[in-house]
This record gives sequence, C-alpha cells and structure tokens, in this order.
Amino acid sequence: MVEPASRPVEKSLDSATGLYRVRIISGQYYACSANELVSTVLGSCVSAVFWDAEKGIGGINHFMHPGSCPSDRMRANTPGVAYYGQEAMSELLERMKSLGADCGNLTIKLFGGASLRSEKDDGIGAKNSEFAKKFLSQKGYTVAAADLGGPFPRKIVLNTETGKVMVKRLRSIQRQQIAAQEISVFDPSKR
Amino acid sequence: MKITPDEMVASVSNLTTFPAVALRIDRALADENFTVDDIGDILETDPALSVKLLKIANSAYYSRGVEVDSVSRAASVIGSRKVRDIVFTQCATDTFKSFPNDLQSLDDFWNHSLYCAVAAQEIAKQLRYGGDLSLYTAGLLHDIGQLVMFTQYPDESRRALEISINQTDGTSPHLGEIEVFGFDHTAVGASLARQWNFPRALSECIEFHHAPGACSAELATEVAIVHVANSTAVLAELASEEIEDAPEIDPAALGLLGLDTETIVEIAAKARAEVDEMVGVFN
Repeated sequence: MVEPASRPVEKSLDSATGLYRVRIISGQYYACSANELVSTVLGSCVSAVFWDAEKGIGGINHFMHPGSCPSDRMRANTPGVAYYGQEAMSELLERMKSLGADCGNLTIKLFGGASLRSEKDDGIGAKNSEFAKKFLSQKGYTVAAADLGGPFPRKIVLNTETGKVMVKRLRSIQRQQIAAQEISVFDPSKR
Repeated sequence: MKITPDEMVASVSNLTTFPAVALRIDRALADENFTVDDIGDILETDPALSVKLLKIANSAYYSRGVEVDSVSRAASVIGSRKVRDIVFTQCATDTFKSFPNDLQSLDDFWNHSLYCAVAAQEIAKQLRYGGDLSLYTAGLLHDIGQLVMFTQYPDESRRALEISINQTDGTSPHLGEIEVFGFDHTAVGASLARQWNFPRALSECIEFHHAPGACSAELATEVAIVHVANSTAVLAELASEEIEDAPEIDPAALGLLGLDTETIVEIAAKARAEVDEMVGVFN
C-alpha cells in the first residue's frame, strides 16, 4: 500500500492537455524545463516550489521531517531520496542549477505543514514549515507566497512553464489516509 | 468487484432496523391533525430519548424558568419539527456508533453530515419549502452508505479514496468508488434506506445527492437541496469561501433552486458557526 520514495516518479501523458502529468510522493523531488503538471498530496509534509521565470524551469520537493537526515548510511543507500528538509531543499536547488536555472533569481512558494489532528501529530507540520522558512531566509531567499498550516491536507499542482500552483484543500475523508501514509512511509525510529 | 449494494447492506448484521421511534414521529408530523401529545406518546416509548429531550427542554437555551417535566411539554417547548431532527440525529449516531473504521473517524463523518443537515435546512428555509420532508434529516443521512462501505470493505474503499486524490482533485470520492465497486455510497445508502422503510423522499435524497437530475420529477427540489447542501458542507468543513473548493454543483439543480454561489458561500459560513456550537451541545 505504501509507496517507497526510491521508486521513480510517476509520469504519464495527459491526453486532454497533451502535457505530462508527474506525481511525486514524500521523499521525492522533481524539476524540469518542459511544460509539465507536477502534483503532490501534502498533510503535515511541506513542499517548496522553485521557479526560474526567465528560463522557465520549475521544481518541487516534498519532505516529511525538519532538519537533516541523521543516518549517513541511509543517505548513502538511497541516493535521490530526501525525507528531510535539509536534503530536500539543497538537492532540489542542485537539480535546478544542473538544468540551467539561475538560483539567484527564483520565485519560491511553500505549501503544506498541516496539523492533521491524528494521534501521532506532534506539531510536525509546524516544525516542517518553520524549517523551510528558516532554511530559505538563511540562504537569502524570500518566500513569494505560502499556504501553510491549518487542519486540511492539500493537493497542489505545479505548472512548470508558468510557475502557477493550484492548491486544493482536501476533506477530512482523506485526512486519516494521508496521515497514515505519512507516518508509515518512513519512521526513523525503526531504522 | 462482484458484489451488489443490497448484498453489501445484507452483510451487516447489526443494521437490520432503524429505530422505529424516529420513523413514527416522521409519519405523525406528516399527518396534518397531529398534536404535541401524539409526539409525546411516541417519545415515551423510548426512555433514553425522553430523558435527552427533557434535558434539552430544561437547558439554558430553551428554559423559560419553569421546569419541564413531561415529554409532550418538552416537545411543545422545543417544537415538534426540531424534536424530529434531534431524534433522527440521536438515532442515527446510536445506530452507527459501532461502525468505527480506519478511513474516517465517526466524528469527522458526523461533522460533515451535520454541516450538510444545517445547510439543507437553511436552504429549505430560504426557499420557503413547505413539504413534509425534513431536509435536516435528509442532509444528516445522505452519506450513510459510506459508513457501510468503509466498514465492510476498508481496503477497496481506501483504493477508491486514493483514486479520487491521485487522478482527480479529491473533491469527488464517489467517482473512485464507482471505479472500484461499480457503484458508489449513494447506492449503498439507498439500499439501506429501503431496508429501513424510509419515506421515498428521504430515500431519493440519499440515492441521488450526487446525480440530482436522475431522481423522480416530483422530488427534484428536495434532491437538489441535498445536492447543493453537500457541496456547501464541504465549503464549511474547509472554512473556504472559494466555490471551486467544493464538489461541483449541478447547474440545473442550482437553477431549480434559484441560488447563486455567493448565497452558498454565506450559508456555508452560517452552517459552520451553527454546527460548531451544536456539537458542543450534543457532546
């Protein structure tokens, strides 16, 4: 049921729009210079959206934990997977750079960090949000827009050509499922 | 999946009947000659409900300083129609209290149901609806099929929810259900409503709240109200003022009721405030 982040991102051609639809899950990040629609579903996790308007390059990550990955071995064993904010942010910036983005000229938006009111909710959503904001301000970036916190999960869709992000709040009917996935997909205490 | 809505309902052993007291009150109210004493007589057959109504009649909200000590007096203080709404709420939550599931907490389920009930009631009020159906009750019970589905087939239901989030914008879980089961929670709810001998207006509101155009012509108003109230309830739940956040509303249903989206946003805010207060009273 739970999908590992080490699997490749899901990508399919949408016949209606002729655009590629990409779906990323927690631990994954994605960037591209083509016109694609990248979606992800967030509970207490946070996504940062980076966009270079001039070059038309967009990127998005999806991390579960603030700070950086405590295990060197895990990091080495799962290259390209970033459950922690530190890696999710730095690796996405690197990926953007490698695609030719000017990282001094990025529009940045933040999403997620909800408080899902599940039993295991220990304010992780707020901590993830704080981490993202602090990381960015330390690097000298400003956040153009943010939709963080609240009790609602969100589904966001980034259009990598226009940099526009559609945010859809999700109902309680999906909350428990999203919370359960976020907890079970990766529990550092069990590694 | 090779199962029908009727088979799904039949597989649940503790759902064979809905408390008779609720349906008797509903029938009594449809009779133009009913009196509060009739309501009192019916209520007295259910001691737990009688106690509850006495408590409510003597609460700060209704009390006029004189102690209410008979059930028919309580019915007169609270109002017969309000009594019916309270009785249905109590009977429904009691009936389903042994239906916990991992997909949605019962609190979340009833919260959405109450938003829908209050929104439906408010729409009916604005339209000066004069029929026999309690739109509150119809709103309250519109999703009961989902509880049966979630409890009996959790894995398949989870898959249906996943489909609705990953392939669409998540506002229409019933489309995922159709993909997995071949039918959705409205069909299960309708099957349950038939088994419980619900009045036809109530059954059709449950059965067609996602497809208002498919109901009987003479119940088009009632079904349209619950359809719109369901979307209104989602706005209330999400504390949103953007109509795009709600499940899409059938333009024909909206036209039939003569409502605009601005009014719906207002009703959503009202339902949110009212239910938040009400949940305090019921707990």
